[in-house]
Amino acid sequence: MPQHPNALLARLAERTFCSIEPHLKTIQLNKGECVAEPGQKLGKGYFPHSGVLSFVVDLPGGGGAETGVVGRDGVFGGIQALDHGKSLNRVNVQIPGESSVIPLPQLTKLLLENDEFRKIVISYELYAFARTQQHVACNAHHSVHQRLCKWLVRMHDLAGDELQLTQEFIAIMIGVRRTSVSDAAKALHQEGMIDYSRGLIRVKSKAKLEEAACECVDHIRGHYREAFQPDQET
Amino acid sequence: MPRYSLNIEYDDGSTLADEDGAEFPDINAAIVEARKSLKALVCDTIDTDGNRVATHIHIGDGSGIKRGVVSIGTVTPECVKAALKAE
Repeated sequence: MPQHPNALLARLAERTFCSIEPHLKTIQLNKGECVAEPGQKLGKGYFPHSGVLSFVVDLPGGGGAETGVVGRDGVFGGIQALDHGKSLNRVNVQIPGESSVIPLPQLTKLLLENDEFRKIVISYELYAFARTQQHVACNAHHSVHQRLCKWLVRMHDLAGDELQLTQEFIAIMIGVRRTSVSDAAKALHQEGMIDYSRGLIRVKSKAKLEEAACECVDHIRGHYREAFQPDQET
Repeated sequence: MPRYSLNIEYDDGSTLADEDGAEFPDINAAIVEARKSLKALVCDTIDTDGNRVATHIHIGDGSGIKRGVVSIGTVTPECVKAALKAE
């Protein structure tokens, strides 16, 4: 298997990867940058090496909520390359980093020509769909405290101990008011899970966060494993 | 836009200062957000059987001067107050 910072590309057989590698270009993902607007035709597909892309649904009456994130374990633009090429959501760089990109027409061609590449991208998109469904159930049933823990565990998986995120941003990400995040973050700080100072969260104990999070953390990780190792899970 | 802080006061006397603050068009918009925030905090407490509840949100401006306050009494619907009284 190839050594690549993006987990999907790293899963490809060497031969498959060699056919894709010449089309990859590495770019910087800059904090806050908007990489897609709803209904906008995408220029390229993203295979992040680091950093986090966030899908946000904005409501016309104000407010909005995150519906998913993509980091080094995934792709953004894969399903669009196989369909009409348009983004369903606004997609922003939540945590800066680097990404491999492929122009969308080229990505479409590569996906149609290469069964293994297409299968991996579709498996990821199915996982992303399952994850979104899990979030819907989670938002309906679990407390802000549990959801914040779940979200911090996910961010830690993708970006490590130090997360440059304001409470305002986190509130949009988990679909609650900013003061609810302040209140929950204070409790997490008192329980020794995180430190927070203006715009910077430091995870002190991921194990405690995992313990305090809802069961959705395990379910979502399970969906990812199943997406790529179906034979071992059944 | 001016920046306002929404500082939380709990029933046990503890407080939570809003270090980040947020931008609002004016003080009235900050008060509207404070009302919605206090309702959400009270609901969070009920939802989780919490052992303390937010009772006030104090609104401060960019220089730290207090510009308003929203209390739990002003965000609780009359029917809830009546039901609590009748209990």
